[in-house]
Formats: sequence, structure tokens, C-alpha cells
Amino acid sequence: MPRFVVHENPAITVGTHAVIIGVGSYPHLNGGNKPLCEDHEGLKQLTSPPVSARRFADWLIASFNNPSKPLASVALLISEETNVVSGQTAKYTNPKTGAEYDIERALIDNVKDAVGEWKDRADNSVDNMTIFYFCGHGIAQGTDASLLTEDYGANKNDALEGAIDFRRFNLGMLRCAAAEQCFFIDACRASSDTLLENRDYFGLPLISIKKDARRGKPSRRGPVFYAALAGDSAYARPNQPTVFTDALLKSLNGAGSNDQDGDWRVETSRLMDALDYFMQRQLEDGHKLVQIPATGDASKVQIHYVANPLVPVEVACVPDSETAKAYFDCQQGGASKGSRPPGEPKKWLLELSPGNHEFIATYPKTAFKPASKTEFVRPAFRRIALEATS
Amino acid sequence: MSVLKLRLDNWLEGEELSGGAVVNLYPITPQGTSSPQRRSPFAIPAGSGNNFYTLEAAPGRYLIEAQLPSGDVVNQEVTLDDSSAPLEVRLKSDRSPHEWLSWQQFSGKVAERGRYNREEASPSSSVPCLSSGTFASPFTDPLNQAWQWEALAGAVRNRETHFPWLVQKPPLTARNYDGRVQSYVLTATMLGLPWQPPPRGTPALEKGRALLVMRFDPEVELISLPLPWITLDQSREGLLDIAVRSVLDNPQSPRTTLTVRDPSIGSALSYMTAGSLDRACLLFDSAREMLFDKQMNPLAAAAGAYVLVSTQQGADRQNWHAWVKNLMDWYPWLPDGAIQYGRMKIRDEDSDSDIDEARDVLFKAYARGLPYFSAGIRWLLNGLTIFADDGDEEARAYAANVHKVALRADMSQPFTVIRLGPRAPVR
Repeated sequence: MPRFVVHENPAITVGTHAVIIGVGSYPHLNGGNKPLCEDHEGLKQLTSPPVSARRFADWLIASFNNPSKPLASVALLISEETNVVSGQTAKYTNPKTGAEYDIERALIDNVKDAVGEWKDRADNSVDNMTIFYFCGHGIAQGTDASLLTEDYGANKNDALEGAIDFRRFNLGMLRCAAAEQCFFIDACRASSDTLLENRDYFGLPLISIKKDARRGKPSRRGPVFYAALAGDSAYARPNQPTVFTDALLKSLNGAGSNDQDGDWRVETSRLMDALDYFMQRQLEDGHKLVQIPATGDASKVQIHYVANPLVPVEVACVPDSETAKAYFDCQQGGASKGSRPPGEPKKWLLELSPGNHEFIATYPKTAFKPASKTEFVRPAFRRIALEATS
Repeated sequence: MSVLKLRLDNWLEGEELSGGAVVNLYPITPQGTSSPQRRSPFAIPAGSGNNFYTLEAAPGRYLIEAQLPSGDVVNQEVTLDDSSAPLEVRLKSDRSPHEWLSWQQFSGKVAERGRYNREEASPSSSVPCLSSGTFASPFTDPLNQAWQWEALAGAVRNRETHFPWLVQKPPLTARNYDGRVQSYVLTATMLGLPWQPPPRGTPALEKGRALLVMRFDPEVELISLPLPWITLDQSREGLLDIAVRSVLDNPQSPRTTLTVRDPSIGSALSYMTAGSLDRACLLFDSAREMLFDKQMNPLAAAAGAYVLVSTQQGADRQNWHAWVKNLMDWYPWLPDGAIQYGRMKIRDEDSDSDIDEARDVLFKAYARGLPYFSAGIRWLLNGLTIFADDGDEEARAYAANVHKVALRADMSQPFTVIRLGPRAPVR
């Protein structure tokens, strides 16, 4: 098995190649085990990125399905307390084979090697698809984003030596033959004015840029999906993936799919709709959005085929103030798909298969009439409103 | 067949958008599954008018899904019977915190009523000041506006808040203010500017390029106004709807947001930045003749070109490609046409001469000054970076200036807004 790779199918000559980077442990940031760097920008240790990276790798290996571009390889790098602070080797167990792998740390030199090898693996055919996933700290401003690797701040005179210059990396990836390139960036937060503006260096581009990079190749379709939630709370969820990765996995499992071609496929536009829905839902819980350096590349890529999509559904009463008084039930073909007793003022959130469902609200302690309606559920999401009338 | 009539009701201060929201109509089979027999997405009218999008469909159940420019989604199920009377469906989306913010809310610049009212919102004791202005060109050659990049990059680098290159006029008066957000509606005429675009080949706009300057000490924002703007449907002067915030819920948010009340493509301009480029493409595509053939509004044509270039699949030559070149050749005062043509040349390059042409065109775009659209800043920067990183020293010098400005550009808005002063303190 090549270095960094935790899953490989050498029989696949044209397929999907992924590289996954999760950074939770930053020795030179607040709470780290090495001298705090001057350019720490208030950034702290994170608990969710290693969990997120593993969860995304698990999903790719166990669930990813694209008949024309089957999964060919997955490379994984993780920096977490285990391998950064405790000095042990981080492990990853391939969910398909059960094989256990030693995981290398997400130091910038390792990231450069892993990304270079990943790009080379995908370079043999324009019909390949690449997936780049990064979860950790990122600093964004205007058009640019720096993705911070474990050794951010190790060089006290140039903290960004431990970072990826994402804008340039994205341009450098034009050299990779694969015509479909998806980038998932679970990292964004805003910079102070000083960090990025005082430097002409935003990190390593990882792959140098060539002006005739795509000569003789089809145009690159390279959608970028950015996390847009501000603040540490989206990244510090013990033993849970980040808010964005959680939304991404739910979207890939169905909310981001469409059936215009007959079967359920996750493609760029619908995936953006689904992610936007999940992010908007977070706003109701007090999260705030951060500005993201949108790339403007929304070219259509069919990423994944879903056999049994799960659709997020919100159920509430009209007026909303009566939601806490309702006993909710959902049925399909006479079988219960879930229920919720009174007492919770927020909307009832559930995940359902596409199709007709009957939604019922009864009000055990009030004089409201029971309300029910049969509604059709399909991605990206449905909102169901049940009238509370006396 | 049955007839279904659809529209979206929204106040929009009494105005009506012909292409207000993009709708998917999903037939539902009697077995409760979605039917593959569906039509392509289409645009329905939105606003406070009485126009409907009318379509014929087989009797049965349908799920209507309207994606609004704000990102909000309105779902509704309907059942069409086989009666001869059309079924009229008015989707509802009036969620603006104030009637006077309805355009800003509809286009996603202001939160819907519930969240707006929930957010911490102690009114500010000080009020931002908005003035109009123009660039005071220190050079006489209208085709060489490269000094704009140098001036803006210098202002960013030196944290300047007063600018010798800016002619600033007396403050404008807000039409509404609720202690948090000021609202302005402006036209070219109100600013003393011509409301029609100059004839083809005119190198510069008469009376200069229209800008706004927002000052909220120590912050300064420079807003490039998309003027002259003629609405495509009625050939009337376009209204610019501007909101300025004295209170920010997030220190990263812009204070000034701008939307154009264009009945044909107002929604498309919002879809441009909402991750909904395919929906923007649908609206621009339906206005293609007005945008490109009638030459009524070069700025609207540039907006359409950004979306069409962004969403083009494959390198096949499209009939609108020639129009992008025309935008570059016919409107020297508009940097965006050259940027778009340069982007297409790099993307579809097949020879060294394509690359050389792309370089020349991007340098021409740089010389034309600040783009009207934020996407233009990104495309120009990336184009120059490709040459700079390949060892081109001239491109490197230009890219450095563009980069300084790009770091202060608000990429969440379609039109160019640059933050020049220090950032607001984090609350």
C-alpha cells in the first residue's frame, strides 16, 4: 500500500481518488504543548476535525458509490492528541477490510507529499475524479484561504509555512488530468487584517501553477464546498464530527440527491442546496455565518449515487407557539416512522425515505383538534406545517 | 391536460419581477413515488403584482419547490384535477423585517423577520455616513486606469481613510432607519449622472464612474455602483436598493449591501452569489436576447456573461462567446468584458497563441481599473497569478496590486465592495 493510503483498489484504472486531512492538534496555538506562536489569532485546539476526517474516510470507503468512477484510493492524514501530544501512533481501521493502518501526521511536508502522490494517482485519465477534504483551522479573507496544518507557527518568523495556500493549490490542480475535482473545505474563519495582508505568502501551494496546464485536456470542473459557520463551537464537539462534516455526510446520504436521471444522484447544485439548508438550520441555534471565499465554480459534477436516500424533514405547528403542546406522529403505509411527545418547543426533526408520509399532531392537554396531512417527501428537505385549531 | 398558474407573493415595495424565483415541479405518482416525467426548472413572477406563470400538466399530484434568491425554499403540494378551470397557486414568502427592507431580504442580504428580530440588536448611537463620489483620475488617458489598482492597494497597505484620488460629494439622506439598518434607493439621475449607457466605443463614462463611500469611523467601504443601468423589460432607469448597517451581528459582515431592482434579472443577480449559479443561468438564458442582442445594458450583459462562462460545460464554442469579446471591444469603460474574455481564453486554450492572447487581454483588463463585479476581481487575480507563478514579472507586479485589493473585497456580493479602513472591533 502506498504511503498515506488507507484504502486502495488497484484493479480500478479509472475512478475516484481522495485525500483526507484532519487537524485537531496545533502545538503552537492556544492550549498546545509547544511555545505559542505570535500569529495565533486566538485559535485553539480542536476536537472535532480528527473525528470528522475519520468519519468522512469511513463514509467514502463503506458507502461511496459512483459506477463510472468507483473508489480507487483514499489517503488519510490526521493530527490529534494521540500522535501529536502523547507521542503514540494514530490508527485507522478500514471499515471494508478491517485492516488497521498507522496514520501519519498532517505536517506540511507530509501534506505536500500526500497531495503530490494523490494528484499523480489521478493523473492517468481525464475521466478520474478527485476529492480533497480538509478539516481544521483555516484563515480566510477576501478571495483567499490558508488551511493550517499541524505545524502552523512552528517557524516563529513565518507561521504560514505550516499552511496550504488554497487559492493557489486550487489553480495548481488544473495540472491534474482528472476533469472532475471536488474540494470540501471544513475550515473557514475570518482573518484579522494583519495576518494575511502583511505577507505575500499564504502557505504552500502544494502544486505549482502552469499557464498551459489543461492543454489537450477537457476543462476542469472543480466545485468547492466551504463550511460557512463562524466560531469554535462548530469545530469543538467532543467525539462528534464538525457541524459542516455532519451536514456533508447527511447531504451525501440523500439530502443532496436528485432523481432527474431516474436514480438518486448527489450532484453539485443539489448538494449546495442541502448544505445551505443544514447551515441555515444552525443559524436558528445561534451559530453565525462567516464569509467564504467563493470560487464561483459551480460546474456540475455527479459525485455519488444513493440507493436509499434519507431526507431531512421539519414538522411544526401553525402557529409555531403550539409546537410544544403537540404529540407528533409520522406514518407510512400504516407503519410508524417516528413520534415525539409534547414538551419540546423546537421543530420536530426527522429523516425519512422519499415518498408519501402521513404527519399527525394531537394535543393531549389542550382543546385543539387533531391535525393530519399526507405529504410527499423528497430531497433536499421538506417542511411540514400542521394547523393547531380549536 | 390541466392548467396550473403559479406566482410568488412578496411585497417588494409594490414592484414585480418577471423572473422572480426558480421552480421545480415534481409529479407524484399514485404510488407516492416521484415520477421521472418532469419538466425543466422554470422561473415564476414574484412581487406584489398579479402575473402568473402558466403551464399545462396532466391531472395528478405535484410538489412545487420554489428556490428563492435569499436561499429560502417554499414547498407546496397541489392536486390538479381534470376540470377546465386553471388552478391558481400563490406561494408566500413575505418574511422581511420591514417593508422597506423587502428587496434586501428577498435577495438574501438581510435576515428574515424572525432571525432579524431575534438577533442581538441594540441600536447604535452613531450612524454611518454614505456619500456618492467618483474617481478623480490623475491621468488623462481614459484607457489607462491602472492607477486605480495602485491607489487602492496603497490605501489598503497604509491603512488610509482619506483618499486624494476620490471626489466625494455631500452625504446622502437615508429614506428609512430603524436604529440598525439605513435604507437608500438611488438612481443615476438622482446622482446627477447620465442614465443611459454611452455609445459603443466610448472610452469613459461621462461624469466618471459612480461610487459610494460608506464611512463609519474608522471603517470605510468603497462601493462600485452598477450605473448606468437600464431595466431590460421597460427600458427605464434602474433603481439601486442599498442598505447600510450601523449594527453588525458578525464583525465579518459588510456594512453596505446593494441590490438592483431589475424586474427581469434582479433575482439572477442574487442567485449569482448564493451558490445557485445554475438558477442564475436559467434567468440570464431567458433574457439572452435582451442582454446580448439588443445591447441595452452592458452591465447586465456582463453579469450574464459571468454566469454563462461559469456554468459552461465543456469547451464547445457557444454562440454567446462572440458577445463576451464584443463586451470587451465595445465598452472600454467596463473592465469586466476583458476579464471574462481572458478567463475563457485561458480555460479553453489550445495553443501558445491562445495563452499570449489571454495575457494581453488580462493586462488590458488591469489597465481598465476596478471591475464592476466581485467575480471579476477573483478572475483577474487568478488569471494574473497563473502568469505570475509561471515566471512573468509584469504579471507578478499587477497580481500583487490586485491581490491587496482582493483581500478586502466582499465576495458575498455580486457588485464590487472594498473595505478600505480598519475592521470593526469584535463584539
